[in-house]
Amino acid sequence: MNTFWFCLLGALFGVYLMLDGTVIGAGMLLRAGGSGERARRATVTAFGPFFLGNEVWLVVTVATFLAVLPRLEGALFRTHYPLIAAVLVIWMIRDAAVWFRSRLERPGWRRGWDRVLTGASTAFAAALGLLVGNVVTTPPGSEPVRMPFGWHPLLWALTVTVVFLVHGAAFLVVRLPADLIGGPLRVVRRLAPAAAASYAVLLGAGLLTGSPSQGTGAVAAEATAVVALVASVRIVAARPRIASALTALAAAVPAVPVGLRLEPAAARSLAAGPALDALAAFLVVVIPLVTAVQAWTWWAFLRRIDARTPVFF
Amino acid sequence: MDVATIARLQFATTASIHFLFVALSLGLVVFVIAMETAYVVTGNASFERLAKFWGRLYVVNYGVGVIGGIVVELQFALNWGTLTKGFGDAFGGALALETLTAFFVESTLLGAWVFGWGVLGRKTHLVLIWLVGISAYASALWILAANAFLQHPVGTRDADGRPLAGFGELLGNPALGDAFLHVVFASLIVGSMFVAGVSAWHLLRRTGEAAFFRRSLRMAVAVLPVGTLATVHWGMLQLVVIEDIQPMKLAVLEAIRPGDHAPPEWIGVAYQVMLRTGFGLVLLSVALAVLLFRDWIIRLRVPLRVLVAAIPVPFGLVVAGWLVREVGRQPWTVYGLLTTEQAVTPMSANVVLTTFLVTAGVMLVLAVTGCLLIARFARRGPEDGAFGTPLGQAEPAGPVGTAVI
Repeated sequence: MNTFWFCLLGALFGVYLMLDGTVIGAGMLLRAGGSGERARRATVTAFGPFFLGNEVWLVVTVATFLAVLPRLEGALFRTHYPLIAAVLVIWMIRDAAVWFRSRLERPGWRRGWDRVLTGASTAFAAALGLLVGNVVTTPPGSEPVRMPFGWHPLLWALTVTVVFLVHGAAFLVVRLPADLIGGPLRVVRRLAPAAAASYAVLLGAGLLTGSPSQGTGAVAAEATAVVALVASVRIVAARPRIASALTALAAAVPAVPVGLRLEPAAARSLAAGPALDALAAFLVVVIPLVTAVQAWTWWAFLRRIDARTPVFF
Repeated sequence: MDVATIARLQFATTASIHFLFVALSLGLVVFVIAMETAYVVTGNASFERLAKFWGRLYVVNYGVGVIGGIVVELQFALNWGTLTKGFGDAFGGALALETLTAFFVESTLLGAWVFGWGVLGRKTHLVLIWLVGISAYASALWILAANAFLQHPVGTRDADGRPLAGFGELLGNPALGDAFLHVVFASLIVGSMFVAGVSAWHLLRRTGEAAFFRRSLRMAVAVLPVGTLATVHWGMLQLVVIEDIQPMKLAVLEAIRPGDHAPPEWIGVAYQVMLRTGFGLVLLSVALAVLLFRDWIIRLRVPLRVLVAAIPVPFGLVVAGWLVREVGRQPWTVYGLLTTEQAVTPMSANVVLTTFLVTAGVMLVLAVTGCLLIARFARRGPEDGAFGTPLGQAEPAGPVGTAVI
């Protein structure tokens, strides 16, 4: 039962990184399709139908974490309090920019919120990466980390940011109108090798230091990311959907070392029976249901934007 | 200031702002569902216009609500570590269920609804908004179940005396049922007074959409007495439960001398304000419903002015209601088991203060911007491009980007 809950939490977090990774990446690349209003609106429209459904995976991860491992979550949140608070604020600002940017027609309003969106998305990627790096290097339950900027966390911040850029760009190649995909294509071609190199450095560093978060599982996951990123460069122009699936894989990889780091403590902090049983009964219904609805959403809306595509955000 | 005070201030600020938007969401979605259902059943396009106009206000409002919801949700884990550590087994379960329904199901479906106008079939689209509404109310049930657990920690006790509540115990909590219905109908008041008030504004200004706003005004005013009477009914029923499970809260509400572990006395004032204004709304709503006869409500003009002026009133009442319920639980976080002083995460006051100032500040800016946008769209009246303006016709934005795909 313990293993089931633990794998479920890892899967929720991994899916979050894959899905919201497209939004965070596209937010950083708001001007990659072109700097005019049409290109920027098309970029926001690209992730529009999925935006709400994507970010909820992180909320669900946190809430399920709280219900399943209440004693571990408390310790983890206390140790990384300042960083988690920063992620929360950046997340609010990113969301506000998405919701507000198209509500008024004034060009100044839109340019202003677009700057906020790009800035907040970049900060979001970096902060999530820093958080991953700190969780991997600092055991939960340690005193609050005041200066979360060691070289390993910084390397994670860089990796996550570049991987999200590549992932967002691959997604935009799938969704943007054909005349706007030149920029995102260049981003994938130039940055995917850099992202692969960044993962390779993390992999090598993990092997050298031999930290517990760098067991066989993490090495395998990071090696997979390297291969997936290299492969995505070759096929992005011809098969952009498959390239997106590969970059999604690379985006989800941080969930593995985080899971491996938390696993020993998790075994000791599982919630008591009755509440978990209630939650399990509910999850058995809700998770397949939501997965089905989200899969249907992706099936219904994941096609190239054309003149008839509705816009809202 | 100590950590507990700052953490309480942060929770009060963010949860109150969040709930203003939630209450309007819960109330407004009922009208959007009714309008779109009428459209699909009758095929009358004027109902589609109604659903789109009120639907856009609903969606913009939902956006601010959901951002606030994220903040409130993460705050439990950040600031209330001892609560989640000690009582996460029961409380966390209810909270997780709320998140799964509110965020997961509702947000996913709402995204498809927003982008589905003109893309999906009419019936599919209608099913989406019904499911959005149902999951909104289901999530309200779960969040109140979590809250009811704090008010009255039910469940069998483990070796350390901590309650372990399962599904049935959480939902069977005496502090839940009446409170849930009270909140549901209070939200219906918020929604109907908003719809009635905005409609009245357009009718007063003669903005050229008289038939459109007459219809929404009549719908809202017809629903309003149901909301006011039911809210008062289930509010009164809660007093019986409170007498039983939280005698000190009742003592303060009725201004009889409280004993130890009593909540602050000022909630008695909030309670009186809620009670008296609530009764006033019952009378007002019945009178307005009578004036629907032969459209006197519109022809007399004065009722329209009253409705416009009254838009903010129910928002004030729901905040007063939460203050009575939540501050009334003090000094406990989990009633009788964990005080608020104990529930807070042991953390340096400066870190918590910085977090409070930044989150509350950002949220305030978002809330004000959200309100201004809602007011602006409400004033503009029905427009063709509320949803589903294709990108090719997206409004030109100044000197750049006027090209059409």
